[in-house]
Amino acid sequence: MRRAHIIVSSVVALLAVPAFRGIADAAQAAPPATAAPDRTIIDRYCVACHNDRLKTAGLTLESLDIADAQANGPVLEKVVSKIRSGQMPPMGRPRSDLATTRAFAAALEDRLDRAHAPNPGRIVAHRLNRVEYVNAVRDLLALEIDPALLPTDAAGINFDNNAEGLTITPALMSRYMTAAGKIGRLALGDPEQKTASTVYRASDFARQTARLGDDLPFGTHGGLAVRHAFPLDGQYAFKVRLQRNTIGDTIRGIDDEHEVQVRVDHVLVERFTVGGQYKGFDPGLVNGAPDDDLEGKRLHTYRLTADDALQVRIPVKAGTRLVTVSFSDSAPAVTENVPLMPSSAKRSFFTDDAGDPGIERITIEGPYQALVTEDTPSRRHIFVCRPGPRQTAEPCARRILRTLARRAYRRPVTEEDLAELLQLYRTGYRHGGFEAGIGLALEAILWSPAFLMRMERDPIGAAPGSSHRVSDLELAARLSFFLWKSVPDEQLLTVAEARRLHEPGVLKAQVRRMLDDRKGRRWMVDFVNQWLTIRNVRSQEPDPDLFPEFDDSLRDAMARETELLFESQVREDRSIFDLLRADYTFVNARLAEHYRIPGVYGSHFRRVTVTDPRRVGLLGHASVQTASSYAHRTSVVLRGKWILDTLVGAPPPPPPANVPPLRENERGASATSLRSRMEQHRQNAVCANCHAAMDPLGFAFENFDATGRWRDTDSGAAIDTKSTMVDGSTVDGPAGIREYLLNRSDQYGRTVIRKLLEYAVGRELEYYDAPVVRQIERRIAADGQRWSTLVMAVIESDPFLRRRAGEGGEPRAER
Amino acid sequence: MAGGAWRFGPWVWLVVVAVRPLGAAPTTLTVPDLRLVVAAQEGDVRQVRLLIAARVEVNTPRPDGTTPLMWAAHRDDLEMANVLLEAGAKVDPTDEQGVGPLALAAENGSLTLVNRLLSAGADARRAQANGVTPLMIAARVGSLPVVKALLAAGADPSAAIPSTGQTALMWATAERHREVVLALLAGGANVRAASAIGFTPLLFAARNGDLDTAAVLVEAGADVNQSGNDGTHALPLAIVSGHQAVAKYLIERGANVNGTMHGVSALHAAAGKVDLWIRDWLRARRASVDARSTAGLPANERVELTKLLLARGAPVNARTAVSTFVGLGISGRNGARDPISTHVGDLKGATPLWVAAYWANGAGPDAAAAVEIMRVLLAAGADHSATTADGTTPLMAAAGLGHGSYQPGADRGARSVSAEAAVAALVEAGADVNAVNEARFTALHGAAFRGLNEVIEYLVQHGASLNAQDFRGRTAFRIAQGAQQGFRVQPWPSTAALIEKLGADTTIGVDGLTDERERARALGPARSRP
Repeated sequence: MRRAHIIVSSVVALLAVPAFRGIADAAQAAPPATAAPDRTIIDRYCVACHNDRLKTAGLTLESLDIADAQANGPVLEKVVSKIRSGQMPPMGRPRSDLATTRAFAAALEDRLDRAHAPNPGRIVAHRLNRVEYVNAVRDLLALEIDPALLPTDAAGINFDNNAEGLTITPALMSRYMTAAGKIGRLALGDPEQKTASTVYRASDFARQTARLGDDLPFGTHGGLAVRHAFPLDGQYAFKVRLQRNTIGDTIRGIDDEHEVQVRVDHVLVERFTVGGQYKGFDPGLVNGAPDDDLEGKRLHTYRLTADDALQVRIPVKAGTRLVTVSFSDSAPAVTENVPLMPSSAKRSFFTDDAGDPGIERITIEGPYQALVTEDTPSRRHIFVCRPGPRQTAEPCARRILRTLARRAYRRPVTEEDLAELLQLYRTGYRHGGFEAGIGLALEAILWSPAFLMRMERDPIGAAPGSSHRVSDLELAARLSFFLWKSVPDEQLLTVAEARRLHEPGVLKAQVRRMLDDRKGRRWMVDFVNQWLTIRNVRSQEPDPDLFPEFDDSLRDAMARETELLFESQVREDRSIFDLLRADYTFVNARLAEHYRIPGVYGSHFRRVTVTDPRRVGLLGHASVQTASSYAHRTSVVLRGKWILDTLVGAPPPPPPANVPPLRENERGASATSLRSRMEQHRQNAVCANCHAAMDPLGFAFENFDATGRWRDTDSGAAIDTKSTMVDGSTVDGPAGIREYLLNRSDQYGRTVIRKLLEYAVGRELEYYDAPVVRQIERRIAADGQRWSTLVMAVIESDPFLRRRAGEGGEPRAER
Repeated sequence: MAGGAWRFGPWVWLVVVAVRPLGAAPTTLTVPDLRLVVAAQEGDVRQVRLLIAARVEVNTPRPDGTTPLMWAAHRDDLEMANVLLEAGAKVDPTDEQGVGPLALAAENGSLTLVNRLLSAGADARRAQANGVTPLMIAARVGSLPVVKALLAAGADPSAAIPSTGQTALMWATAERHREVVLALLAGGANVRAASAIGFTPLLFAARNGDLDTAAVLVEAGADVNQSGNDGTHALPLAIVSGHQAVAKYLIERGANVNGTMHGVSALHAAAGKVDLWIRDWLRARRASVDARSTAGLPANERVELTKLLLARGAPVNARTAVSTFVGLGISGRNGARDPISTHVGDLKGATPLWVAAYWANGAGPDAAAAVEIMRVLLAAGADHSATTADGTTPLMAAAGLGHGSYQPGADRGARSVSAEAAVAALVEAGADVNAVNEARFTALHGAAFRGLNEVIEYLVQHGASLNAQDFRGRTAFRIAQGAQQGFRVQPWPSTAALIEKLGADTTIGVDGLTDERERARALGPARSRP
């Protein structure tokens, strides 16, 4: 069997993979020797402030030997970083021209690279984050769980898989134990399961006039689609509630008749007709209908309770199933109205009996008359065998638990592991039989540190501070948590157990396989949402009076657009620079309406060519512009900071305390543009130091309002997007910034590499990672800077493949 | 078993599924094989090919009726569509709503896919359960090549949706797709069709202000005087929608200047915003009750249009025909006596002069234009004594009745130069300064409600009775002390002082603020606002 695997994997490796260059090649790609860094540059431009007497910012370069990269590594890396990004010398001080600066930086970097004592860094033991936990449960048990079982991860440190932030507290541990119990019962089907009620709410501020997505049937609009885990076979009740008006709590749109469809896994459960009776003025709306007005009372009661009839009870088999509610397109129409003032969805819930109805929520209650079923996907995953009639159950239990634990713990199961689990199994068996025993042991697996924690061991005998290759099993875990945000699958585990995974050919083949897999999408969506802070769009709330058209459908569409662009760039293996200059994007009807692109209908996203040079690339996306704005206006500073953080890798320091707020436009006074109100940034030298880097970037985007729409004036004043960068060059508008970034490949390119490396490895980068970043930069430069090369280079880099041994005192392991 | 087999990819699945393991109980019901339709939905062409090669049924629908071919059409995936059609996919399946591949291809505006389906025999005339045809969808999307292809394949250009009466031509016009409109007309679309609510294609163009398309429709035989089923005429509709060029065009082509929209004439619409009078018209079209139309015509265009309409014989004293109340449909039973009515009742029967006078009580260029319009109307013989059904005269409206104010802490209302000019124009034309409406409000009361000191002075100088009492016995002085307007109470101390200075009898009645508080208390704590 094992040989077959080897043959298959080799064949796959040979057939499936274009020729990658190995680690050895990367070392050979180091640049030829350059001259020593020119000391006079430092003396002329730096020492005026950074000398022994002044020690500006705690740094002196006066007597530093800049050629001694070995001794002065951390300081020199900082120097290189500051002068490459143009932050130093500060604005207004003399600086050398771009070519000289680059040559000097290159010379320093060359020294640093040569002197670089490889240091792969060390990731502390940490727990799975929430995304990883949910995915692991899905992959292990074929079960969708509600992420709300666990608290959200702290958003503090850059990426949410940063090991420093993923600690376990006793409170969190107790949540894990509760969650393990629930998951165990859900996976097995607990005959003691009580009837429960789950409510799924639609967003109040998403338009429900169009089809919301591919999960919903064609020819319908609005509503919601959810994946609900039905714990057992049984009867379940589905109750639909329609949206209400703010005044009087009457049902929106109840004046007309509508048809509501409820479906489970696309099978029609029921069609309900609601509305259209008792039209006309509602006397009970504000005052209450007088007692003798029976007709009025009936009308008012109807308006309040017409959707009480929207419930149905049907038998459903256990498993996670798609449940959808939506309105049939009974009377599709273009609106025959006069042009109306736009009004925000947040404002127009006043009293709207004649408007468009909406689904507020669906409640799923059950199970009633439940039965445990033999056949759900989770049970099939768990019960790899069944105890025979005359055999003892324990051998089968061993097999089941070993299979589960091996996948969950990401390593072969030891006798000690099994002994613990079997002890629990026996306890459960005594009380409730075979399945109860399995259930108890499964819970234990789910709160075991071996599952929850990612722990790597130094090899026995490793000297403290020395660098060693991580074991194949540890590498398998690193790979699967990077690319799949989950535990390794069977094939990956098997290759790792055979100690083949670290072999370059095998490693490349597995990476290729993992990227091609459906799960290979997970890192792309997760990474782009965090790197580009797109997930902030989901919590942004633009002022409904200033941006009445903004609603949840637009919010979701914006975020999706950027996710799709990034995914397509990676899948099509483009250059990382193409993200900035992509001449295509993805829109659906709602987003096309926002961008004023005509002729796009339907909620599904489709690829469109971008011809407007102002919208080309990532920086033209509404998501980026919205995530870096305030609720009521754009922010030059936030946008500048965003670019510096995410694309240039030169984050500004935090602002000093007690900065007064910006003067807002007062009603009545003549409006001034944002730019003119920010003049104080330029006039005050203390402010200018940091804002000289941020503001010019932000000004270039002032034509995009706080929701990413193009505008030509700001409060009536013309918008001036020309600005001077900190290094003296001038840019104008989004196209200018794009050119600026593309011409500074060292900044953008290195930032992308740094971000991906940080994300893959799960720790912040230190000064000793800088040579690794440069090495990767050289490697991908030889291959068109493509994403596949970058991903592979990150995986084959020291921080990913290796680990620095600790000071001792921790358990160690055989390799 | 499942644990080991899926290492090897899809091939093993086929084997495992097709060959039943020994000892498994035979199943009595057939479970449909959904793998192909799932692969098609996900756009996995490779998987689709594999499954077809393994002889999986290519027409198996998802439980809601969607087939693999429908997903290929929805995703605009020609390769997959070819693969499926060559494997025998039915070209005209429909799901439970009657949606089929051709409709989905039309929604994408995809000529390649539409042609592929038509060449495979798709029926261009087939409609969904709700009556929507692929041609309508293509017309709405604005894809000219697809529209032409469908017409050539026999699609019916005049098909209408049974519930709404809307047609492809209406959809194309509504979305401003002029070329598509031309193609549909060339294909025989009925240019005079009317929807169930009431729009014709021309009315859509008038609403949009789309002069080019309007001209195309008229050239093709649209009747400028054909009203929708509810009597909406294109001329007032164009004016309410704020499109002067289209309005002029319609007049040139013989539009009847008497044409109305919900009982409101073109001249009313030119004289000022008529939202108040078309509220039920808006609600019938699903506008929410607090919806407002856009600003409409700019001020100078209003004046110009008024003159033009009068020159063409528009009746200067036309009356609006439908009852309407200020107060968002909440009040109405008590007319002008209702506390939140802003002191006017049923505004049916307003003349263009009344409309202009109402808007003159405001600020900015629109109010100034309203004054100019009033002068034009008066010169053309407008009747200054023509009241609305509740007895409110244009003078009362210009002075301030029908408008609510709430400016807490303000001494008096914001000055309205236009209101002063409007009031003067009416008085000079002979308006009765002491007329009362159904709740015994006078123009002076109106100005007191608004805190307009200059208007008060003018009215008093021209004979207004300073101590006239309303139906509650309040004088202008008491009102200025404090009166409920809409949902709130507004005092104007400076206005009250002025009225006192002018010689009002300040002993009549109860202090305004006290009065309001007593009323609130009398109604009980939970309902201090009636």
